[in-house]
Amino acid sequence: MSRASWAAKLLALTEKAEAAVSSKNLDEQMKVRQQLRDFMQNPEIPADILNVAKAFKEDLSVAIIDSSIKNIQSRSEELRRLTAELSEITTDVQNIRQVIAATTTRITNSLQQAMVAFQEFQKIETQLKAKFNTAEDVEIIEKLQVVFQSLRKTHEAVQNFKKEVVDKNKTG
Amino acid sequence: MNRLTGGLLCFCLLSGCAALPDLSGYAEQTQQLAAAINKSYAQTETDVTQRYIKTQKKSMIDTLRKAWQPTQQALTAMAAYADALARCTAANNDPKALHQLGTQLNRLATTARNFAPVQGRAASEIANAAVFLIKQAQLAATRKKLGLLLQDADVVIQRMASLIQENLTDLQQIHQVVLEDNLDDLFVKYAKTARQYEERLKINESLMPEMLAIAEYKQAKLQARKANLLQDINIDRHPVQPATEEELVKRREADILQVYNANQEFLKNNESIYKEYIQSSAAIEEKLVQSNMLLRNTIAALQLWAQTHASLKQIDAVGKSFSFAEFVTAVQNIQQIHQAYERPINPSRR
Repeated sequence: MSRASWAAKLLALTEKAEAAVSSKNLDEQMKVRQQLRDFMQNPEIPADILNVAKAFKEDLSVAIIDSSIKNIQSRSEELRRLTAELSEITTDVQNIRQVIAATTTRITNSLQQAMVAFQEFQKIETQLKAKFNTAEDVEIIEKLQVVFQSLRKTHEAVQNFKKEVVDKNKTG
Repeated sequence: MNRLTGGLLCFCLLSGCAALPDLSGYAEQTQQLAAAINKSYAQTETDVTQRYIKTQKKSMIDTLRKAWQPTQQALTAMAAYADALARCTAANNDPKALHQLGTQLNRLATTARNFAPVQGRAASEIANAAVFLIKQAQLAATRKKLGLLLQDADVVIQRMASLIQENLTDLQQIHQVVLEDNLDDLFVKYAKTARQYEERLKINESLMPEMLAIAEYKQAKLQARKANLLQDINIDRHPVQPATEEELVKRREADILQVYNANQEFLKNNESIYKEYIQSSAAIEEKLVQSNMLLRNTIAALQLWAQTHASLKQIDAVGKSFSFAEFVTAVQNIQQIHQAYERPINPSRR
C-alpha cells in the first residue's frame, strides 16, 4: 500500500471520529477509536503516519474520558438525593432499634419496681399481723397506703399495656 | 424446678415468635461490596493519574475524583443502611434482653403468687404468657414500622443500584481507554524492535539444524583425513585436490555464521527491550481483562444486592428463611478477581 493510501485511510478515520465527537455519540466514538487502533497495528504503516494516528487516537481518548466523566456527573444530583433519603431511612431504622431497646429496659425496670412493691407489701403484711394494735400502727398504715398507691399505678400501667398489646395484635 | 421449667417454656415461646431474619451477613456482604467497588475505583484513578499527571490534561484527574464522590457517598450510605437493618432485627431478637425480661417476669409472678394466688395458675405460666404478649406486641410494632421503611427504602435502593451500575460502566470505559492507550504507547515504541527480535530469533533457530549438519560434516571429514594420513604415506607427494564440496560447505558456513552472529548481536542488544515490552504488555492486557471481569461481576453483585433487598420488603413472609447465598457468591467473585490481579504478573500465564 502506498504512503498516500495510508494517509487517505487515516484521513477517513479522523473524519469519522470528528463526526462521532460532534454528535456526542460515545458508542460511535469507542468504535472509531478501535478502528484507529486496528489501523495502527499494521506493520507496513509508515512511521510518521503512525505517529499522526497515535496522536489523533489520544485526542479521541480524552474526548471519550471527558464524556464518560460528564455522564457520571449527570447522575450526581439524583445520587445525592437518594443518598440523603437512604440516610434518613437509616436514622429511622436506628430509631426503631432504640425504641425496642428502650421498651425492653422500661418493661424490665417497671417489673423490678413492682416486685419491690410486692415484697414491701409482704413485709408490711407480716408486721401488721404481729403488731396491729400497737402505737406504730398509724405509721405502718401510712406506708401501706403508699404501697397501695404504687400498686394501683402498676395495675393501671399493666392494663394500659394490655390494651396496647391487644390493639397492636389486631393491627399487626 | 418450677422456675427452670418456666424459663424453658419462656424460651420456647420466645424462639417461636422471634421470627425476624438475621441480617448480619447481608450487612457484612454489603460492606464488602462497597469496599470492592471503592477498590475498583481506586485502581482506575491510579491509572488515570499515571497517564495524565504530567500532561496538560491533569485537571481530568480531579474532575474524575469529584464526579465519583456521590457514588462513594452512596456506597457508604448503602453499607450504613444494611448495618442499621441488621442491628434493628438483632435488637428485636436479642436473646439476652429477652431472657432478662423472662427472668424478671418469672420472679414477679412467683412473688405475686405467694401474696395472692391467681386462679391456681403457676407463676411461671403467668410469666411466660406475659413475655409472649410483650414479645408479640414488640414484634408487631417492629414489623409494622420496619415493613413501611423497607417499602420506602426499596424504591431508593433499586434506583441507587441502577445508577451505580451505570456509573461503573462509564468508569470501566475510562479505565479501558487509559489501559489501551498505555498498551498502544508500548506498541508504537517497541513493536518494530520486537518484531525484528522475533524474526531474527526465528531465523537463528532455523539455521541451527544446518549449522549442526555442517559441524557433523566437518567432523566426519576430519576423521577421514586422519585415517588417510595414517594409511597414505604419499600424501605429500600426491596432494589431494581441494574438494569442491568442502569449499562449498565452508562458504555456506561462513555465510550462515555471518547472519547468525549478526542476529545474535541484535538479540543480545535488544533482549532487555524485548522482555520489557512483552512483560509490560502482558501486565496491561491482564489489567484489561481484570477491569472487564470486575465490571461484569460487580454489576451482577449490585443486581443481586437490590434483588435481595426487594425480597426483604415482605418481611413477614421472609422470616427466618431469608437467604442471600447468591449475593455472597457474587461478592466473593469480585474479591477473588481483585486478589488474583494483586499477585505479581507471570508472563508464562499468558
